[in-house]
Amino acid sequence: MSTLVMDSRQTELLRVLLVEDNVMDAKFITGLLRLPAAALHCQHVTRLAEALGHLERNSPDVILLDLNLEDSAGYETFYRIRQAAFHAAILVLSGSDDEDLAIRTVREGAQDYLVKGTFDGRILLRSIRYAIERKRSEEALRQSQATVRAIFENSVEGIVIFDDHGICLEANAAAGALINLPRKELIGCRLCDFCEKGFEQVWIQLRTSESGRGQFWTHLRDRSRRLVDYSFTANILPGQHLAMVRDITEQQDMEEQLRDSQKMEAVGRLAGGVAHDFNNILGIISGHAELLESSASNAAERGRAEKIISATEKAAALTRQLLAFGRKQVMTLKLLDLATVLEGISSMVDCLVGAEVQINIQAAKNVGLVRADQSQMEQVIMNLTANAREAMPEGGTLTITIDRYLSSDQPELPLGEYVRLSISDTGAGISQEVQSRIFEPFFTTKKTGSGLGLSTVYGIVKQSGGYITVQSEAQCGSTFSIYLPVINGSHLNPTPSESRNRLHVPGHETILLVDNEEDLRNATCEYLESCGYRVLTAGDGKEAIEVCNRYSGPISLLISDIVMPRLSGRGLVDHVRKTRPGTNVLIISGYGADAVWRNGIALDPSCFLQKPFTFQALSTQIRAVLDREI
Amino acid sequence: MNREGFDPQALLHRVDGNLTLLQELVDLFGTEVPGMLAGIEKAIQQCSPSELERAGHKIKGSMLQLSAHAAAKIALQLEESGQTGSMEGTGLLLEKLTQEVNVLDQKLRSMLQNRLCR
Repeated sequence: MSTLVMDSRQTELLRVLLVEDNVMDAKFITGLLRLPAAALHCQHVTRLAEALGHLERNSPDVILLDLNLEDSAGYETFYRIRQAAFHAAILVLSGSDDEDLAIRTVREGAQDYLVKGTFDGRILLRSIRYAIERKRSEEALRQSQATVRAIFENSVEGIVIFDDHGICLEANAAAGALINLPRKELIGCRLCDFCEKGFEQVWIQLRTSESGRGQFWTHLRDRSRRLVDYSFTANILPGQHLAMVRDITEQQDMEEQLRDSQKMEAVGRLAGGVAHDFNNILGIISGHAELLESSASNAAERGRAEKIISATEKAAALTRQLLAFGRKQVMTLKLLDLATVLEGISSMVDCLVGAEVQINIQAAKNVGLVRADQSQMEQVIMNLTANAREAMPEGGTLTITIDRYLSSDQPELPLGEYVRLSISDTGAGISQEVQSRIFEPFFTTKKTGSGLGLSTVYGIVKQSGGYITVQSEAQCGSTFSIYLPVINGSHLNPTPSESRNRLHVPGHETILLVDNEEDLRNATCEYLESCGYRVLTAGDGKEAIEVCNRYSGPISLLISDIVMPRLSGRGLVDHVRKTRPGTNVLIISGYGADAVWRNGIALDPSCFLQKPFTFQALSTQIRAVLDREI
Repeated sequence: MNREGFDPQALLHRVDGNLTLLQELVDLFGTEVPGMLAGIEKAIQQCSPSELERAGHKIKGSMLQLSAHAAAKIALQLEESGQTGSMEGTGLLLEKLTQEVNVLDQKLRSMLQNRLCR
């Protein structure tokens, strides 16, 4: 191997490998490369084997290649060198003015083909530089194509190239996945075959415009359909059009879910607001009814007062449900008797099903306790009841049963004891096909359904460690059964039931009662005074502070509403805690207990009483607050 | 040999007037070309068309580089004879090529001498 180093003012030193077995030709070529314009480091080998060995250790920029060597000839020489030096430019120097060979070598990757005797030093140098530039351009193009190919193949978005007739010429795997076809099967298919009717017109518009964006529904071969978002660029190459496609079905479902949940939240707020005002009114009715009852001169008057009180209790149960509906509840697992839960919402169930549907409840108490969230169980019953009602538009019978069930290791229900809650209707029934998907989120057969009702039920049941089954036959109605494991060896702490014989819980301390509902405030004040308390009253927070400032004696308890004009309950509580640290606080509100922390009041849960309350509940709670050990 | 047979101006132009390179080429001509001719003679004697093709191709390249078109043309005929496997007349072609090469050798040396004396 001989080496020739040529230097010049050019900064880039090109590495040249000359493969030439003719000593004279080699001398001639290396001589030509001594031109002042050259900046080359030229190494010369005479045999193919020698060249291949050199290429294993070096990376020349260009190879000047004679095809006919002692150990190789013609195209074979070129092929072997090209394989070994993929990144080098190859300039064939041949004694043969063979057009076919020249074209073949250039087509297969040579950058040029020069016939000996036809070039001088300048032409050779220029050819070398052109060959290197051409090779670099080809390499840049190859890398760019590889990058584009990698993006194309790995893109999570579908990429499709169509011809003028909407026939798919090329597609990536994501595009195939979008319409549930292998990529290769997609190629050759017509776009409009997968789109809804009328898309032909859209396609024509897209083709004639430069670009466009939009959405269309695509029909898959399994008859399902997906919503596709696309962006389109016409004529990326003559007669070739690019479409980027993305399945946004789930996104749209999520957006609908968000809209639904926002709607529900708004409805919930409205319901909560109505319930609050209604509770205040009920409080006034109930308070005065209790005063009437206590001052009744005969049994008839007392009986009428009791009817009023009983009616307000039923109304209060309804508003509690409205409040629960509007509240975002955190799952609180506790031992529950499902029959008691059902009993608590039976009035809501009545309202929900309407007059056309008969209700048959067979709920035995004491069949066993389960561990679940009460609000969620109420939601389960309400959702299933709502579905049952919708299954019987012409009326029918809704049956709710609660019993104990012993499973004998069925596939869908492991061996064990369960409390079974079944809700049956006498509607049209559910097809097997629908049954198989009925608990999927967003699956709905209703025109306006969100598809979330039964999936929510399913989620709650699973969260509670239970199971749910559905049995249905055409025209024979449906039965949803929920199985919750029995928690053995547990019992509920009996909740003190209010007796109709009112207990008088006396007291003697001073209480500051603050409520902007004057009628309720007056009735409560009258009752508390009848119990022996000294009662100071105020219609809002500001007035209450004035009363506090004026009154020099101790105030044992502040009973205050939360939402009031001028100064809210929070401002008042903060002031009293600062100025009278010995004063206890009992918050009363038409909103639920969550309103306390939502209004930023730090309070023990036992110091809250929701309106409407009975005076007995109030007096009991007052004593509990005042008598507790701090 | 006329200008069609050997074009000294073209050769000078191609080596960019580099007399040192020309001297090296002329020296190499003297040492390498007899070996090339011997290779052709051996191929003819051994009746080996492939060897004849290879040897003819090799000397043709050198003659082309030296702008010796007449010699290159005869070398091409020898190469083609080897390609077609026709050995007939190859001896005569070798004889003509040898004559052309000898004349070329003289012309090259003379040209170089003249240039060096200027």
